[in-house]
Formats: sequence, C-alpha cells, structure tokens
Amino acid sequence: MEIERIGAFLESAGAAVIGTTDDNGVPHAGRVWGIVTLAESPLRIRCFVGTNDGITVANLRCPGARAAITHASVLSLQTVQVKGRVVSVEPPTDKDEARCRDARDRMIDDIHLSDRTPVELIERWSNHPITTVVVDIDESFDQTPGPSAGAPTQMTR
Amino acid sequence: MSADDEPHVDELTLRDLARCFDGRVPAVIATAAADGTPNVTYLSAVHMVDDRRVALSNQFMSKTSRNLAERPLATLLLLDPVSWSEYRLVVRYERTDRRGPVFERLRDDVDHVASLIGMRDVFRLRSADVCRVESIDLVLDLDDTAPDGSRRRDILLGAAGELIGRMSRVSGLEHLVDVALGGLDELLGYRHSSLMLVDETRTSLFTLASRGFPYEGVGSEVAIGDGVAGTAAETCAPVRTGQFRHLMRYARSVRTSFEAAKLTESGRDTPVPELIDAQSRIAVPAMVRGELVGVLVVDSPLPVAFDDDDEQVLTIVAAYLAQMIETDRSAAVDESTPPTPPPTAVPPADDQPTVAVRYFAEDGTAFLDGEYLIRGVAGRVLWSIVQRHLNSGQVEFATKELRLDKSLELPGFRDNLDTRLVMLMRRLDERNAPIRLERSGRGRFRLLLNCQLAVEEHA
Repeated sequence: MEIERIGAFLESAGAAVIGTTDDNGVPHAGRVWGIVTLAESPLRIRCFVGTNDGITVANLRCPGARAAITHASVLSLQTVQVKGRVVSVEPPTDKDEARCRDARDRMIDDIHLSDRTPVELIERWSNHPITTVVVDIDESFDQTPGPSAGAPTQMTR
Repeated sequence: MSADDEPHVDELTLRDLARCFDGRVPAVIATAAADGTPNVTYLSAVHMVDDRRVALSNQFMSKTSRNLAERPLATLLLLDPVSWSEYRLVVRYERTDRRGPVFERLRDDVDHVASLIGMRDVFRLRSADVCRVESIDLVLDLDDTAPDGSRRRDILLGAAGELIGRMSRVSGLEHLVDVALGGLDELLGYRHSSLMLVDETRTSLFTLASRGFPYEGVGSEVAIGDGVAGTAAETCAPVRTGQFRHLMRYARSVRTSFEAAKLTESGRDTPVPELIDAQSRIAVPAMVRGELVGVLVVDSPLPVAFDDDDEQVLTIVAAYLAQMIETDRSAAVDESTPPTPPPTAVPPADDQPTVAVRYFAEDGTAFLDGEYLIRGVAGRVLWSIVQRHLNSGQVEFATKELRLDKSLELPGFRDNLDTRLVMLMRRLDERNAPIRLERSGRGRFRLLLNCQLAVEEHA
C-alpha cells in the first residue's frame, strides 16, 4: 500500500487499537475510537483514545513515547499497522469530538452489518470521553491476515 | 503448591471469560521489541489451556513471536461476544508448542478455518505460544446485557425427551427424518436443521433432508473434512461456530492474501450455509457402535447461538437418530418378503407431456428435461426404475430386487440403498417432477408418472 493510501485507509471505516509501553518497556493494549490524517508525507495522524484507559494515556505522556496503531476494516479485514513517535497528547476540540463521533458511527454500522450485533450494545462499548494524541508515523506494515501479514509497506521499505 | 504458583488474577478467573475464547471475536495483543517499540495486532483466537494459561495460535504473527522471545510480557484485550464486556489480561510468555495436545487443539481450529476455504494444504498452524496469565482486569462491564440461560437447560432436556418419544413411535426412514427435523424445530426451537449421511465411499456426506432453509438441498454433498459438518464427521466430535460471518470473512481474507501471494490457485469455496443470515452453526456426529452414520447440522441467524447445552442435547438426538437409521437399514437389508409380481402400468395418455431423462452411466448423473437432478447411487436407482418401466411397464418395485441389480454398484456391506431411495423420492418431490416415487408397503415402492418418457443414455 502506498503512503497516500495509508492515510486514507486509516481514516476509513474500521476498528483500531493502540499499543504503548511504559518506562520499563511493559506493553499495553488499548482501543482507538477514530483516526484523522493531518499530513501525508511525512505521515502525521491524530488518534482518539478513551480517557477511561488511564494506562494508555499515561504511556503516551512518557517522554519519547512511541505508539503502534493498527486499523482494520471490519468488513474486509484489510489491516494496516503504523508506528511512530508521539508528538502531543491534547484535550479534544469540538471538531475532534465530531470526527470521533463520525468514525465511531461508521465503525458501529460496519460491525452491525457484519454480524448483526445490536447497535445499542456496540454504542455502550464504544462510548467514552476521549483525549487526542498526535503521532508522527515512521513505519507501516500490512497486517491483513495471510502470508504477507507483518510485511513492511512501501513507506517503510 | 507454593505461594508463587498461585495465579494472580484479581478474583476473575479464565473460566469467567469462557465466552471470550468461544466467540471468535478477534482479540488484541500488544508486545514490545527489545528497544521498547510497541507492536499491536489482532489475533484470530485465544484459547484457554488451563486455569492460568492461554495459548495464542500463530499462523502469521511473526513479529509478535519475536517480541515475546525478546520481552516475554504481553497485554491481551478480550471481548465477550455476547455481552461485549471487555477484559485486559497481562500475560507472560512461557513456551512455544509445535506438537502435543495444546498445539493439536489449536491446529484443529485452524484446520476448520482452512477447510471453509478449501486451503488445508497451505493454511496451517505454525506453532502455539503458551502464556501464563499474570492478571485479569475487567475493562468494561456490560454483563447485565447477557441473557440468563439457567432455565434453558431444563427446557431443552424436557423437549429432547419428547422428541425422542416421537421418533420412537414412527417407522420408515422418510417419516423418521421428518419427525426428527420437525421436532427440532417445534419442540427445541432449532428452526434451521439438516441431516447429512455418510456416503458409500465414506469420503463425503450427502444431505438426506433439511428444514427451514430456502430450499431443501437434498443430495447436496460435502467432503468429509470440509466445513463445519465435514469437520464434525472427520473428528467424530461436535463442532460449533458462533460468529460464522466473521469466520468466513477471515477465511476469505486469508484466501485472498494467499492468492495475491500466488501460493495457491483460485478454487471453489466449500458450500457456505444456505441460511442467508447464518451466524452460528453447530454440527454433531450421529454415531452407532463407534461408527459414523451421519451429521446433524443446525444453523441460527444469531451470533453465538449455541453453547454446551445445545451440544449435549443435539448429541443425544443425533445418537438416537443414528440408532433408528441403522435399525431401519438392517431391517431393509433383511427384508425377506419376495417381490410382488410386477403389475403392468396403464400406458400414459398420448396428450401427456414428454419428459427427457438423460443419464450418464459413468457417475450415475441423471437430468430431467436438461436440469440436473441427482447423481451416484440415487441416479442409478432412477435409471434402473425407468428402464424396467419402459421394458415391461413395471410400476411396483421391491428394494430387494433393486439390491440384486448389479448396475447400481452397491457395496456389499452397508449399502445405503434405502437412504438413497428416500433421498431420490425427496429430490423428485422438491423438484415437483412429473416422475415420483411413493412407498407402497414395507420394502416396496411405486412409480407415479404424469408424463411420457424419452430416455437418453451416455457412457
């Protein structure tokens, strides 16, 4: 996948997760409730992370923190992982809140479409206050299930 | 046991998370490389090994495995597919299994996915990473949305008893399968079910009857080892899938990736569930004296619709069904009544339409008016009946005389003739064909024609 398409893919409907580490290198997994591409080359993204996930937020605030974000299409299972340096952790603006709501709605629609899980249930699972994190991406990988899973994309090669 | 051996799971145990291991909602795993760089990816499934260990099936996640070797700590996110409660587990990598019982259990699951896409030769489990659970946190508690199933077991058992009572009061295979599948629907609430039997070669299953699907699909076949039903037949153990759509998406995604990497040729998919919205499927083997007779399959449009209670109840019903089928089969083979003199049929009126029966002797395939009808033993039976009728006007037949017909190529042992005959009758009914067969007594049946026949045989 080319770098221009990675930015667009991260913004497309899907489910995303984030991996961080603490000062001792202990890994932690959390959810991401939407991604916005701020710049494409080099790729800079803004992610929405639930404030209820205190460990992720704390890890992101560590000096020199790095984050891994994996975004998957619920319907096709196409999956991309990007990694990079955390630039900032900021409170959301009204625009961020709106973008997050939109991303969450599209994810809920796809999950409901894919397995008929009641919308109300997915809403309860995904509805959290958020904070935003800006990440400068320097690596990306195709994580779609299959023999090429984990292969660097063109951006990283 | 030393204090160090005590699991530190903060009151929650892995058994409390049982649905997370069953529901096949993708889990999430975060690991870290030696330099501290995090890695996060989805996992197709996490399996409970024992009260304090889980196993991660490793088909593709080479980076995760490398990270675990360098830094043995990982975090997992698990989602309950029914309540959507979420759990976070901190786990410590212990070992990688490439053989043994844990590996084999995970391999069965991977083989199941591979069988859905006909890729058992290339899509294989590489290893199973076994991790010890250090802590379990309930991230989000939505358990108040989960249904209470405590009374369901009693209801199911009572209904199963009633169904077995009904089955014991019927005779004749065609009535038995109608009562069985009807009872599964009316008494137990399994609206979509099918009964598949092992064919003469013992390499595939054929559908004898179904209920609740858009069409009955009588005669359709699944290779043993393929799909949910084929896997249940191969392993002689129940198989259930709670998120069929997700599993099929995963299987197709894997297949697409393999095709893109040119590691396999594009091929046919194993037949998918005929229920358009199927989310869950359970298949239980029907066995007698250690021999597989067939497989009972139930579909549901609901996710994670089947649990251990369903598995146990359907196993009871399937076992009884198998016993009844075997009894019927033995009675048919032992049938000593001589065939009645074949009466001559009244010739069809000239104004009746002509139906073309085309037959291919090589595999017993029969077509009616250019449309595929059936193949194998059932096709040969139809051809034999049609030939006898055209040669002598015979309309009354005995299964015993058919059993002596060498052209049917019946095996000498467990010939399945009676089930093939029932399948042929149902297939003709399903097609609303102008040629029908009906029972006229024990071990006897009658040919009903509303047409004139034009026959055509190919080698």
